[in-house]
This record gives sequence, C-alpha cells and structure tokens, in this order.
Amino acid sequence: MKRSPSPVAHASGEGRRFAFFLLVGLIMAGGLALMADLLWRLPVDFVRWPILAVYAVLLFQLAFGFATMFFGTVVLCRRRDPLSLAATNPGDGPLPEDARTAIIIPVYNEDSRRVCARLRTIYRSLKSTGHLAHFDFFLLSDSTKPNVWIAEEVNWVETCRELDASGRVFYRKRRLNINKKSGNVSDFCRRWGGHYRYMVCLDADSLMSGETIVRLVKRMEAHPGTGIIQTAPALLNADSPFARMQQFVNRLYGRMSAAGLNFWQQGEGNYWGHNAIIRVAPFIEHCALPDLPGVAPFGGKILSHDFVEAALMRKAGYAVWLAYDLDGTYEETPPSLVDSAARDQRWCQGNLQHTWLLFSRGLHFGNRLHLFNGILGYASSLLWLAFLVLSTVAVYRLTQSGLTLFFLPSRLGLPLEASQQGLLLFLLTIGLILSPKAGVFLLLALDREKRAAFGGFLRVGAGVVFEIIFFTLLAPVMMLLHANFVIGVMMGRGVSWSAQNREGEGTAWLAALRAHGGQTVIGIGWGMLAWMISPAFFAWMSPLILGWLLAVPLSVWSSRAEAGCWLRRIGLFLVPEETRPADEVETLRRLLSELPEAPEPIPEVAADFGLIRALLDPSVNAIHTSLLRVKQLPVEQDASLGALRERLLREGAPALAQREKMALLGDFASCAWLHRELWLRPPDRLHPWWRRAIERYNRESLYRIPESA
Amino acid sequence: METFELRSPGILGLAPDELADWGEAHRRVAANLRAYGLRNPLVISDVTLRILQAAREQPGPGAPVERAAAELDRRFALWVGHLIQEDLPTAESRLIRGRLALWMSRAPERWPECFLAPPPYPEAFVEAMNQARLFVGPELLRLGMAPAPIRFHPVTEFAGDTLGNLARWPVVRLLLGGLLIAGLLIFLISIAR
Repeated sequence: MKRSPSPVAHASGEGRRFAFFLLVGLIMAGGLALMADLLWRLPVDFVRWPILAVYAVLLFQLAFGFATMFFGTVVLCRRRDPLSLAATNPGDGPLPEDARTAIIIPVYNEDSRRVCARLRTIYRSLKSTGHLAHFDFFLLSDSTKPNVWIAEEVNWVETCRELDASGRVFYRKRRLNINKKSGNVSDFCRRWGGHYRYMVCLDADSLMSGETIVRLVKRMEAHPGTGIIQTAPALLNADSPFARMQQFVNRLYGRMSAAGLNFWQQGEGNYWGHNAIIRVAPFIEHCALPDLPGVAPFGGKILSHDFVEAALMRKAGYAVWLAYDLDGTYEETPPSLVDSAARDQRWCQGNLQHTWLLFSRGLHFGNRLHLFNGILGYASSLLWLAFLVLSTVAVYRLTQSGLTLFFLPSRLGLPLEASQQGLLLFLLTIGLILSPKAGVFLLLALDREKRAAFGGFLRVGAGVVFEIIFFTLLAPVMMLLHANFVIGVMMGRGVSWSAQNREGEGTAWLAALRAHGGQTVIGIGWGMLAWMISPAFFAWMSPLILGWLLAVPLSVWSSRAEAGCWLRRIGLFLVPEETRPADEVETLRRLLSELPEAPEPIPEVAADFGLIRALLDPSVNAIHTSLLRVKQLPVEQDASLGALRERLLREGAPALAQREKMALLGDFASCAWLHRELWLRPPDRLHPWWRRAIERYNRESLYRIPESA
Repeated sequence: METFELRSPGILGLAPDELADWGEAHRRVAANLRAYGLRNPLVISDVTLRILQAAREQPGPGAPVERAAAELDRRFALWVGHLIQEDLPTAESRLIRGRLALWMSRAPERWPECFLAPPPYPEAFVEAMNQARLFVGPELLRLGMAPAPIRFHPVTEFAGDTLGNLARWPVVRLLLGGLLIAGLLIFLISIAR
C-alpha cells in the first residue's frame, strides 16, 4: 500500500519548494550573468566556457547553502513551523503496548568502556521517563581485534550487572562483517527486527536523552506514513581547538541549517545513519541495499548506506522527516584535521558512489538532490581547484602577452570597470558564504537565554570572527585533501574500513608533515608563480597560499587538547552543553570522568591481553563461551582447529596470526578446551609465555604497576 | 626438656620427593581460585588444601597439577549442580554457568564462605546465583531482507559495464588514465601559451 508522505505535508509544501528554488535560481542567474559578462569583457576567449561551466556548478552549491540558511533563519524567527512534524504534538500520554523499540548501537573496534558509558546514560535517562519497558538495547559488534572483542563482552556484562538490565541490554558479535555497518544493521533486522516496530539507530559516539527518544516514538505513532525521522545532533565533548570550533559552528548554525533543509525537503528528507528512528517493517521490506554496477571503489557494495536507505524508504511511499526542533540528541566529532580528513576520505568514496543512483528509476526529486549535494560536497573541491588553475592560467596569459589590455563595455550595461565587476563577483561569493552568519545574531538577539548559553554577544562575536579566520585558512587545505580523495577514487584507489579516532592525543608534527607536506609545497610553488605573474595576483591568492603554508602548524595546534582547554578557559567557542548542560550530558560526563584509567597490561602480554583474558580468566571465559554457538564442525575444520589449539599452548600466543587467534576465539569447543588445559597442564607442557601468564595471573599482576604505587 | 617437631609430615602426608610437584599443584589451584574472584587468603588456603587432599586420595594417573585441577573442576561442577536450579546436562555447561553466575552476582566477594561449601546456603546467595544469567537476545525471528534490484539509467548500466570491463584489463585502464592526464596537461599548456 502506498502511503502519503505525512499528514502535515500539503500544497504549501510545494509553495515552499518553489520559493526556495526561486531564490537559488535568482542568485544563480545574477551570479552567472555577472561572471559571463566579465569573461566576455576580457580577452580570455580560451578559458571563458570552462570557467563559466565550473563557476555555474560552484555557484549552485553556494546559492543552495545560502538559501538553506536564509529560509532556516526565517522559520526560526517565526518560532513556529506549521510544516514540520513538531506542528502536530502527539502529547504526553503513554506509549502503546506494541510500540516496541530497539535502540541499536553498531560498533567497530571502538573503546567499549566509553560506548557503554553512553549506553548507561541513555538507559538511565529512558528509565526516568517511565517508558523503559518499551525499549531494548543492542550492542552490535563488528569488531575484528581480539582485545576489543573481549573488552566489549566484559563491558557489556558489567553494564548489565550495574544497571540490572539483563534481558534488556543485548550484545551480538558478527563472525563475518559483510557489508560493514549497513550489513550489521541488516543482520539485526533479520534476527530480531520482527520483535520491534521501531529502531533508534545510534553511532558509537551518539547520545540521546530518554525524553527525545520517547518523543520520536510518539511522532512515529502519530504519523504512520513516516518511515524515518532524523534528528539534528549537536556536537559534544570537544577538547581540541579543531573540535571545539566544529562544535561551536555546529551548535550556532546547525539548527538554522536544519530548519532550512526541512523548509524545502519536507517529507523527502535524508537519513544520516545515526540519531534517527526508523520504522522497522518497511525498512526490512524496502531498504536492503543492492550492489552498484562496476567494481570497488566506485561501484560494488554501497558504503554510504544512509542516503540510499532514505531514498528507498521514500521510494516505497514512506516519508522521511528531519526533526530539527528536538534537543537532547548529540554526537562527537573527530579531534583533529587529520582524523577529520580520514573520515572524509571514507565519506568521499561513499558519496561518489551515489553517482550511479542519481538517474536510477523511481527515486524522488528530494532524494536525488540529497545524493547530488553529497557528491558535490566532495567533487566541488576538484572544481574549485580547476577554477583556480584556469584563473591562474588566464591571468598568466594576460600578463605575459605584454599587450595593453582593452576591456569591452559591459553587455549588461553595468557602469563598472572590469576590475570593479570582478570585485563585485568576489563580494557576491563571499557574501553568500558569510551573510547567513548574520542570521545567527538576529536569532540570538531574540532569545536572551540562548545568548547567555553561548556566553553572550561579545563571546559569540569573537568566536565567529575566529572561526571565520580559522576555516578560511583551512578551506584551501581541505580543498586539496578532498580533490586528492576524489582523484584517488576515480583512479580506483579505495579506502579501508578503519575505526574512527574519537579521543586522540593530538597530531604529532611528523604525522602532520606527512598529511600536509604536499600542500605546503603546493603553497610555496603556487605562491612563487603568483608573485612572478604579478604582485596584485599574489595578493588575491594570499589567503589560499597562507592556508597551505600554515597547514602543518595549524593542523598540529588545532589538535591539541591543552589549547582547546585554554580556549574554554577564556570563554571562546562556548556552547550551551558547556554552560548549561542537560541532565544526560552531565550524567555522561560524570560517567566518563569516573572511568578508571584503562590499566596497561605488562608488555609481555599486552598484544594478546584479550586472548589471555578469554582463555585464562574463568569468568571472562564463561562470558565468552556463553556467547558462542555450540556446533559440530566438519572433521577437517575440527582437526585444523585442534592443531591450532595445540600450537597456541606449545608456542604461545605471539606465534599465531591474528586470523588464527580469531578462529580459536570464535569456536566454543576450542575456548572451553583451552581454558581447561591451561589450568590443568603441568608447566613442562606449556610454552614459557603461558607459564608466565599463569604464574602472574590474578587481576592485578597482569597489569603494569605504576611507579608511584 | 620440651621437644617439638620442626617439620611435621603435613596434612597431606607428602614424601619429600612429592613436595615440588604438589607445591606446583597448590600454586595452580590457589591462582585459579583467585581468578574465580576469591580474595580472602584463609578461604583460598582452606579450599586449596581440601582440593589437594581430595586429589591425592583419588587414585589415578596424571601429574599432581592435572589431578588437582580436575578435582577443582569436578567439585565446582557438583556444587553448581546443587546450587543452580536449571537443566545443565553436562559438566561443561555447569562449569560455564557457575562461573558466570559467580561473577555476575559478585558471590566470591559477598559470600566467600559459601564457595564450594556444602549446604545450607544463605537464601540471598542462592537467589543471586540463580538470577545471575546472560540473555544474548530475544527469541530469533528469522526474516528475509533481500535487496530489491534498482533500475539504473541505460547510460549508468553502460558505464557500469565499461568500468567492469576496464577492471579486467588493467593495461587498458592505465593507458586511458594516462591519456586523460596527458590531455589535461596539453589543454593547460595550450591555453597558457
């Protein structure tokens, strides 16, 4: 049965979309006319069309961003949005008995102590709403490292024990992580999806308040035609200057941007992969991901699954909404430019893959636009680079010709010199980027409480100035990084699936040099070229050149937590989560601060600490084996595992490859047998590595004892 | 003059040549008990000696370490069988279930005196041991989640086929890539001249 997008979507939704794209069109028409007029006034016939074509795409991106922020500001100033899910408040009544919801947290080689701290926070917050009985929690592991795997199991059981939540908080480890995160979620749906009407999908660094989760469920109940409601998470727990500025920018402009997105997309919203609620049945029926044509990295398995799942949900007739009005939803951000770039590289590949889907049949306009914007988010870097190269070539040729330049009159009849027209174009471009920031001050002026939560006008003003300077310097660095990623994907260079660094010690100088050394060289080269062409051109290029030259020190400084703490101390880049934290934020901070320093195992066993715990510790072995399936293996496989087991005892864990250790840890009979043998065998039949581990075995002695102890 | 024996034959009645092997067995059993979470040295000593005594009395082959460890497992499985009211058909299942219950209920810290001791037990201890269990998930409901094929645009299909073919011919792909880069360079040089 086809369903309507939502009861709140009606004709004026189309009116909004018309207004939005009219504004985008007007900006583009004006900008393109100015640019074309300028190009045709100059003697640069050799690059006119390429520059105009590249500028058209880039201008679309700028105009789209401007219109989003503009309409977002208008919506927030009105303080009431009749065309959003918030307009139909489902009330404070109880949840229906059958509105069962799973809260799923897919994890991949994460610090499980921190993940469990977030889970505990959400659990307690939900408990305080009185609706806990409707929810179950699932920690869905795809981890590939034995140490991480075993730590996850132990932390999960400790969490269950502490919350008294056995039977409500579950853990599942996949043996083969097929299709990465989307495969992980699909596996959950296949096993247990039938028990639940909804699932709230979280990331390892996500946090949501119980109240927000309950409101999401109520909205889903009130709008049975809605398949996904995405929330707009605020960034949290940033320490380094890079992360603090991202957090500040996200918190300051995020809601404007989200309100602007909702303004035009309505029920054709997007899904960002986490901090969202999903109607499980249609997700299972319609959102399984097919393979893309071609081979990886451009084709094959879909990496950025979320956009595609939203498109498939919408294609099936269900609405996808953005609940931009909800607080109590958070995520964290990479601590440094290098970590952020590593994440961007994965996202870049995933977004470029969406090119295949742009013209596939049956997708809605809104979803095609989301896919296009995602692609443009990365491809635009290559276009900006092309634009700069073409502009440099054009200026070079003009200055090298040695001829007196003769400018044709403006075909638009503008009473401007060509140089003034160039300046006007520049101002238009800068204006499209910077003017939406003025909307923030308007909104803050209207809301005293919010103003105070950001530390007051003065601090917000200082923060905005600094972030503009910082991100202006960073923009050319990101441009080169993204352009490199795009070219890499096009040349068939894929990225591997690695865990995201969420805390970090800061970027070392050598690592920064490795990441940005090439950009610094480009900056020096381009700077010299620009100077040789003309000092005036060098002056125009100087913000870009400065960004490239400062890439290494900027990357190092902005990754340091001490620098971020200093910024916090002087009151710069404050966000409401720091000045007036919500209960769930305070609870999480307390739980994280109470986490004991992770004890460091003695060096001899550190690399195989998880394996030792799983095989030697009676309790951890019991947890681990309880989670394994007892099965009869084929004779050959059993014999091969038998040989591995004996090798492990005779040669010690360091002699085995990680794959072999994972095979043993994944086999019930091996884990039970090895545990028994380790406690039972006389010392002469065990490798000295094991003898040492057993001799020193108790909970303390396997850890390195601090010198101060 | 009052006399006393400096070296008694000991409660296990060990011969001098047995001391080393049974000493190793003692170390192993005591370490195993600590790993179970027992911290009280008196309880550890008492249980260890009782295990060793029983192991010595059990006739059979094997080194003292093996016999002592097997005796600990045997007694633990028996103890769990009495304590936990569940269908645990094998000794292995009793061992695993018991170790899990001990850890989850924190019994070695709260009731160390009950460890491997005969009944009667405090009610709270029995209840805690029986209630401490893992739930790995709700009942499995296997559902199908097959992807619906996406109908791509004909141009997309063609591009996919071409890329697929190029992936099989790396030399051609390399040549095409080289041609593209050379073309770009020629274009840039030509417009700069």
